[in-house]
Amino acid sequence: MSVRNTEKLCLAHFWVAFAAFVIAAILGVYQMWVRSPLGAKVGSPSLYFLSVTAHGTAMAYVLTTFFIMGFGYFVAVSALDRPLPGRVWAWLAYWLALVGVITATVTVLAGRASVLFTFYPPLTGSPFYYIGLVLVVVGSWVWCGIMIAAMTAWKRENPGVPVPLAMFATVANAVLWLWTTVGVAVELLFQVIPSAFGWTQTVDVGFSRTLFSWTLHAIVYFWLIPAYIAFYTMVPRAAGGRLYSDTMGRLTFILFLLYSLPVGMHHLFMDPEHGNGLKFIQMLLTVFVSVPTLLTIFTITASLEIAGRLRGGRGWFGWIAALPWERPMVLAVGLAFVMLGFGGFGGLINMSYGMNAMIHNTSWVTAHFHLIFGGSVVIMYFAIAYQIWPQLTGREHASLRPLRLQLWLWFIGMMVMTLPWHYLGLQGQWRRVANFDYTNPIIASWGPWVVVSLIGGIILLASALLFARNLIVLHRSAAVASIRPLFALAVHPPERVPAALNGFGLWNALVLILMIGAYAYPIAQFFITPSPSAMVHRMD
Amino acid sequence: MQMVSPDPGDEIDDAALASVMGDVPRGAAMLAGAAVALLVIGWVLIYLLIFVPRGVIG
Amino acid sequence: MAEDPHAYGERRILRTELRWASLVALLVVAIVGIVFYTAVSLGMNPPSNVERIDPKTLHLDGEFAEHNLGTTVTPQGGVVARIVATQFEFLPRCIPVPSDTRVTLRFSSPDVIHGILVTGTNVNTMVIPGYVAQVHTVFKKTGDLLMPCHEYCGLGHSEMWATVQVVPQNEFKPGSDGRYVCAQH
Repeated sequence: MSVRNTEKLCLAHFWVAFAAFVIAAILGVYQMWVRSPLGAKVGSPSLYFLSVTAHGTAMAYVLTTFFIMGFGYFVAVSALDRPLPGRVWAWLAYWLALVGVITATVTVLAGRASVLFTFYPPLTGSPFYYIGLVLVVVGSWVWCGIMIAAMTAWKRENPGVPVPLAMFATVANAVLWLWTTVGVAVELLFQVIPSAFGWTQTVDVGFSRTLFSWTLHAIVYFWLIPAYIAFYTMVPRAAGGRLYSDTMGRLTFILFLLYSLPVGMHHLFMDPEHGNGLKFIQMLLTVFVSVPTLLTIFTITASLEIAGRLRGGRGWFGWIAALPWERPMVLAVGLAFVMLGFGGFGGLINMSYGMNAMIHNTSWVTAHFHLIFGGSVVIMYFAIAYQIWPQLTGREHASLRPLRLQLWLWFIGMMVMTLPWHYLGLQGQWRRVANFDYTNPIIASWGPWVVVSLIGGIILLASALLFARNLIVLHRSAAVASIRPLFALAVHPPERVPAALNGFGLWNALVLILMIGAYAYPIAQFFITPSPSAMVHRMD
Repeated sequence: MQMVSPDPGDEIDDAALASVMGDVPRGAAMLAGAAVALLVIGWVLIYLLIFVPRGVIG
Repeated sequence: MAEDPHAYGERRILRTELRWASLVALLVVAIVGIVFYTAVSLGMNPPSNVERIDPKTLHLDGEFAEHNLGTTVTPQGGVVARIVATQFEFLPRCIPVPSDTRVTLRFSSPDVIHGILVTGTNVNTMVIPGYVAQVHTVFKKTGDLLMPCHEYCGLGHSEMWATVQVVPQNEFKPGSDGRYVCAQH
């Protein structure tokens, strides 16, 4: 299985992603330190919010988009075993997106866009921050086009053959991303950038929050799907077993495409610009998006059970110990599932309509997304990188021990950092605070737990640095990679699948219908009865 | 799915697969079932012990 | 496809997945049912009154003019507190309320997005310029509760908080000027 001269393209994307990741991890520790009693007299609000903007932008927009693009190019050539179409476009997109990253980064570091990665108007920074983000998104749209083109060309050359699951899921993600970015693109192009340039002085805040919510939830599934691609197509092979059901894999990715989008307003449960009825409908739709994850945990656990029993495990749980935990991909999925349990639990509470009031904008929310994204998803990004780096570099890991150590440190750090945040959130600790007044008795009682969280963050930083080290040394490793199969076989490899499980025409139509049902009235109301607009508030 | 020569260490023969598939997915059902049960119990506990006692909102 | 006689036939696998999916669906329906009951019978809903107001003239006259802020009691005995959230303070900074009484909190912002929560309670709402955010609740525990601004509103966000002083119902009385103010302690 060759990667047909796309090694450089993949590595270029991955290195941007991981460089942003390491820098953001350092900023994260700084932020946690100044928020804690230990750093109460250190730093300043302007430095803190600059850091939070940089950290959020790097982790949520750069690490993710560049990793996903690089991984997508890798899957497109390795799963389909054909050259990448439009390689010139892929490189152009890369450079465009990189220019966008540099533009946004310089603007943030100059202190001219401390608006946080959610950049809620009327707070408005320098237009170059937003333009930088737009360039990254446009680059990613080119990636989407290439993914779709690759699958389309393969289907033409292989009529009637099921698209390999890894590519089917990658294209599902590309289609999802095209739909997802509409919300933020409209917000940026028609509201935020015009006001950032000073062409408008007021902004409809309710409308901008609604547009952003369109993107804000679906984007996390854009981030998550590569981890699930690893669960379904790489983990069973790495564990020495088979995927329990290829069909369920296809259904899972289709369900994510359908239900990631029309649920964004669950981020607006506490907002006054929408009423109960619409909020309840979005809650119901959110419940549907929990289903593919609940299905996945069964299917992947069953796949692992096959592997464990093949290795001699017996009884109800003996197969667990029998798994090859020394392999990083297997260790990663085990740790990912534990974090998914805790993170998913938090998500169930968040989505439960009125119950959201207990925890909205508290540290519980911060805990939830660090655990589920930073934890379960990013640990799989590490595992994917470890798994495919030998193929990209032609070199082998000298030892797997530092890889396993790095994964364990990530897991331990994430749990130690986020579990106290759940507790503190229920106590009322609120978000995005540069420093707490520890003379207040309520806040003082939180102090010790904030320090515990800080320790977790420091462990995470150690893990992040070790991750970078593990990849860097591979480039200079003497060993040559032995070619081994990467993608898993299903218990029943499909010979034929219905067209609905091999393409996205039907599903795109359904997405359109669902989005009209979920967002048409909420958006239309801003034109029928516009909200009184607010004055733009400049942060540059 | 394209692959090169199968990894000798992980070659699965039909007989072995058939044998384990008699037991699968009992273990997975237990583990996943227990996990989901804990999730639901946790949700109910938070609902009864924290949410409702904190007072009505509307 | 023909029925596969093997123990691990594809149809058996799909049937097993369907059984798991049914179990999952059941649990999910139960959760939705409890949430629905809570909303309809217990009357616990997210704050959602959708009421528009012009942020640019908030301070001039009308409901959120400065003299009208703070806690008031309507002729019918209802308790209403009006609070302005602005960069970087709440007006008033302390809001006295009676315990065991239905209280209505109304917020608006003349500038950027803010938000509030009241520690130990379910009171939580965004405050979006252009809208009046309204929360009804009943405070059970007496004492001083923290009401921070919980959404990033600029560099002074960390310093923006107020106090909700829950006074026992029978001690909740106006001062000599007829206004309700927090006790100093």
